[in-house]
Amino acid sequence: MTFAQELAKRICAMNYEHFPSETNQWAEVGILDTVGVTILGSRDDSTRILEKITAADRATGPCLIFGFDRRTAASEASLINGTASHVLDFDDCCNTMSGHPSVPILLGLFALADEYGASGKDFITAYITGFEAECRISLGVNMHQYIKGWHPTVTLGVFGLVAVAGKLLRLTEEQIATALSIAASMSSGIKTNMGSMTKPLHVGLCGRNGLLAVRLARDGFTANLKIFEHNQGYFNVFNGEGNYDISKILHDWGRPLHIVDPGMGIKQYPCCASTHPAADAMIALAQEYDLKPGNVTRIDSYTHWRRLKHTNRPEVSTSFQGKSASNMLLLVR
Amino acid sequence: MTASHFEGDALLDSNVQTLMRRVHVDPYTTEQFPADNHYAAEARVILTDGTVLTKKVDQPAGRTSANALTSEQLKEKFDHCVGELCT
Repeated sequence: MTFAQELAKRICAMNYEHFPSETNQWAEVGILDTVGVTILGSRDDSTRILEKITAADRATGPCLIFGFDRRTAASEASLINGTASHVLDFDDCCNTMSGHPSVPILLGLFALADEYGASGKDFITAYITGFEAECRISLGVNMHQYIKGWHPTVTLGVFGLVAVAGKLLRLTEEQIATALSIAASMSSGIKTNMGSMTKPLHVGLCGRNGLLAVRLARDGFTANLKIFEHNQGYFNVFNGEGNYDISKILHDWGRPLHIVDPGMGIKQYPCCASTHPAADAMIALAQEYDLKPGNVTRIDSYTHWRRLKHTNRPEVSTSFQGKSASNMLLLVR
Repeated sequence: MTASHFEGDALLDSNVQTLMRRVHVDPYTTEQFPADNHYAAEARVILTDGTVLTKKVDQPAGRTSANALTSEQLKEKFDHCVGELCT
């Protein structure tokens, strides 16, 4: 079996009846939190610009665009809603994924559910399956892929979306393996665009592309099922020889489910998670000692080195940069 | 901290601009936190009278199931998100 087939086998085997009892509770948290941040993100300039452009395509369909008064095709809904969901950087995170687990998969799932209908059980089963798939792949490729400069929310999330859509549309193992292999060629997102409108666009594109991969595979499209492990395949291209471990992905699949342990991180602040521990520390100090700007001579913030490359921005000049800036966040309360 | 803190001219606020010049950011050492903890932070504030205040956080609130936000905090966030749209 190729890696894509091994992955597809595990995706197909995911079964609601086998999930631990607390799974539903965490799924509800992830779903509601994502709906909230997407609605808030729908009014942002980036979402509005994108919606105006795609509206000109006059796509029609039953899929809701959050925060707008029209419905459209699944591809457009997942593009716009995916972008809106991540624009504020307020959506959930997961330590395993080194990224955001829900937005790359849930907005595509909402669009599919609008188009095909879905029971709550089917919806949650698909969500948990996608969440698990992207986290498991992360175990084998991170932190290397993250440090190298890829945006794991989408370079892994696109496979989570294939799992979600494949599950909801009840694709066969072979069709899911093919969809994963198509999606490997769609996986993209470069971290240097963090701090700009293009970061959330990554998530919208991931949603649109993942759905397309699944639909293509369902209708007989072909792809090389050795796309992951081939010497010019996903692992070597995205990580490089020796910088990934396939066994960590496939071994002990689903034990535990990552949505349960370590679980999701739900953000209290609408900005990059790398800045949150410093914000917690500074807010605690400010409240405890009733600090005023005039009484402060100097503030030193210490965070993990890995978190500083994209958040140490002393010359921050736009709110988008501010969302990824430790420097600014220490001051906001 | 809410979305409004990042919008419009919030960044140009004179207090924000003045304080930003007083902020210094550095990676922490293994004397501050264990090497395998990549989600901690320490803030150190020096006041005009020379007082030094410090606060360490091992993990941001809400980061894992073991350190989850309360139902009230989740609801407060949701209401904030949806409420902003209706204003």
